[in-house]
Amino acid sequence: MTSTPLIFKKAYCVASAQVYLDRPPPGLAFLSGVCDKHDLDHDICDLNLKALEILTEDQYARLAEVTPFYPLTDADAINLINTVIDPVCVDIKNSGADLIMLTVLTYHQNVWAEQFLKRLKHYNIQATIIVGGSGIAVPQTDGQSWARHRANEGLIDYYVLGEGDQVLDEFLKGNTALGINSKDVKTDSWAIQVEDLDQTPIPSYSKFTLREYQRLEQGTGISLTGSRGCVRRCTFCDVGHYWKKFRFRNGKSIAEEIEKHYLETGSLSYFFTDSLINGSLKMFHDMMEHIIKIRQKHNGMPGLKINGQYIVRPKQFHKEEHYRLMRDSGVIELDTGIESGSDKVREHMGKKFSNEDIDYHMEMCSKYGIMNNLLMLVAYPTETRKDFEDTINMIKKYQKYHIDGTVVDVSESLPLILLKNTPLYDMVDELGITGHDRDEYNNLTYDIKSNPELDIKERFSRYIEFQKTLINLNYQRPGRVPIHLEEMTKVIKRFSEEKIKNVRT
Amino acid sequence: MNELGFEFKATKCNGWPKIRMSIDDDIYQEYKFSSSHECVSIPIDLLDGNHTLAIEIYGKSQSSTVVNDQQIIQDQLVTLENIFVDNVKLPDNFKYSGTYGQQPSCLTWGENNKQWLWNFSTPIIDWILKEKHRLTEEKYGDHYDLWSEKKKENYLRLLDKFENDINSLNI
Repeated sequence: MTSTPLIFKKAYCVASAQVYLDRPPPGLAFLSGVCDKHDLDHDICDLNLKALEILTEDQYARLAEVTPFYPLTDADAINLINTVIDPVCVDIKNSGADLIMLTVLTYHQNVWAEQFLKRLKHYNIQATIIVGGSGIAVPQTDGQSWARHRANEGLIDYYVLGEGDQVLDEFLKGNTALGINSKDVKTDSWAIQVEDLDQTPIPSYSKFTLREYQRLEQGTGISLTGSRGCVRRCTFCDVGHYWKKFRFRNGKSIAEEIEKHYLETGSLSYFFTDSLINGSLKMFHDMMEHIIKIRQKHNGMPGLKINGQYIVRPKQFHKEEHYRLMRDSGVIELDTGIESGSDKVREHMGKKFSNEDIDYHMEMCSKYGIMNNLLMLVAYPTETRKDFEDTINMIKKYQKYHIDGTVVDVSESLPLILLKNTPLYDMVDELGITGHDRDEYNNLTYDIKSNPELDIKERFSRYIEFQKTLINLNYQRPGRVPIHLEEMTKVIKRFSEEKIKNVRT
Repeated sequence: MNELGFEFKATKCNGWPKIRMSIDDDIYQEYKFSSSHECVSIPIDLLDGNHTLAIEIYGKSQSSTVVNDQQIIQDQLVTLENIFVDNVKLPDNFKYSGTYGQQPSCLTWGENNKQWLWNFSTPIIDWILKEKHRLTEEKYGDHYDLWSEKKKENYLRLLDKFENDINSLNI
């Protein structure tokens, strides 16, 4: 509890819908943690859960299809959204909250967020409204953020751009700080990135009913953040653009956070939001050693399962003890960015590990019962036919590891997407990449002059061949494959139509 | 070529037990234990199809079993602990799928020349994975998130359709 008095008496914290319904929203837990830290009376509401509670399965599915795409003009869909939001507004009004904090994790939640703000206005709720989260910062066609537009419309009083961890403390005390933008200010300011993550408030799940999430698909448990940024600058990834510096918490505090959540909620399932759970080896090892001690304190916490994104390193960095610690601390589910079976391609990507290192990693994971979801990419701009065959041979070689779950899944989305704000995007001239739409953040259709064999058709052919190989090797395939195929068909058809139109004109 | 590995426990009684391992009546290995915990591997390079592995204790004599007051107090026994393919441990249901004489799921063997029979198919990794998926499907049904043979056919069909779409378009 802090000594400076707060300017609010009661808060109502809301998470927007309708993605990531399999887990409690980390942003909502963060807001609840901030309120706890300041002893601020508060209620929470996850619109995902509300939607599931109020809508029929068909209605829910129908909204899930249309709400990720902002803006939404379908009046029937908006009415359906209102059937979920209106009871929440009534509850807020009755709660007497003088502060409403809305978290919007991604721009796919902007439709729900906007509708929620409009309904608050409709109900004439007299409270200060502040919004935050990555979704609100997305620039609109005029270059201004989504949040700025909502402020201009008078739907919000304040919005936080960037990391809200520390600036929210100031806001609750009535102070201003970089990153807190009022509706009256015309220029956006961004919060300074937090240097010391150990000073950030610990999320609180004490007000969540976690069992509500267990009825959802693949309940993945409680999210944790041990670090921000990344120790690699993989060419295809934009993390380095948003998080300039790699920062991490000390391992002991993360372990203590797990203990806190375990004691408050009983949850045995945790996942890290970090770009890499083992970005800092010291932090990772300290954390695991402390978790082992905590497990001993609580009868072993059988069933503890911790998941995170993981980078393979050469053997001298990941000795056998590293894997033993993972098993004993419950770090047994990894999303491992392998990307390619070709050392040459992986070197260009900046991954900094070899096929030999992957073999060793697999052997150790098999020995210690650690599951890997292999993250793979096909059709990287420098990929030759031989490189692609190396990838195919790698998944053939590792087929045996699908037996014991060392390879529990192989995830690949689409043929390589050229993302803005990535090192690869900075290399477009060097690689002779042309034909991409510079206004689009994601580009699936482009030409690579430095690797002419890898034209658009070939890239999709490799994707298809990769998928078919996985299926024929009896790898379990995710349910999302048909959705990806549908999305790609749309993109390709649109591209083809535009090409024909351009030729005609 | 794959390697089938077996992890055994054995008990000594006036000598260690000996086992004979055959596939489709072809003897692959005769093995004499020398400690209570041992692993035996056999390379397999078989034609694709169904096969039967047989393991039997042989060479057991009267002195290999000590009886006192009509109770066996010491015996030469072999227990199958785990099966491996290329050093990867198979789920336990695979070892329980064998039969010892007429007894299903019996993993401790003590009789002379009585065979433990285990049916499998090659390519062995494909067979294991299919079995694994089949058992999951049997237990959990055709759930969205679970892999099934039905989905396999459907996905291959969708991929073919996608391939045709791509080939027919001007890109």
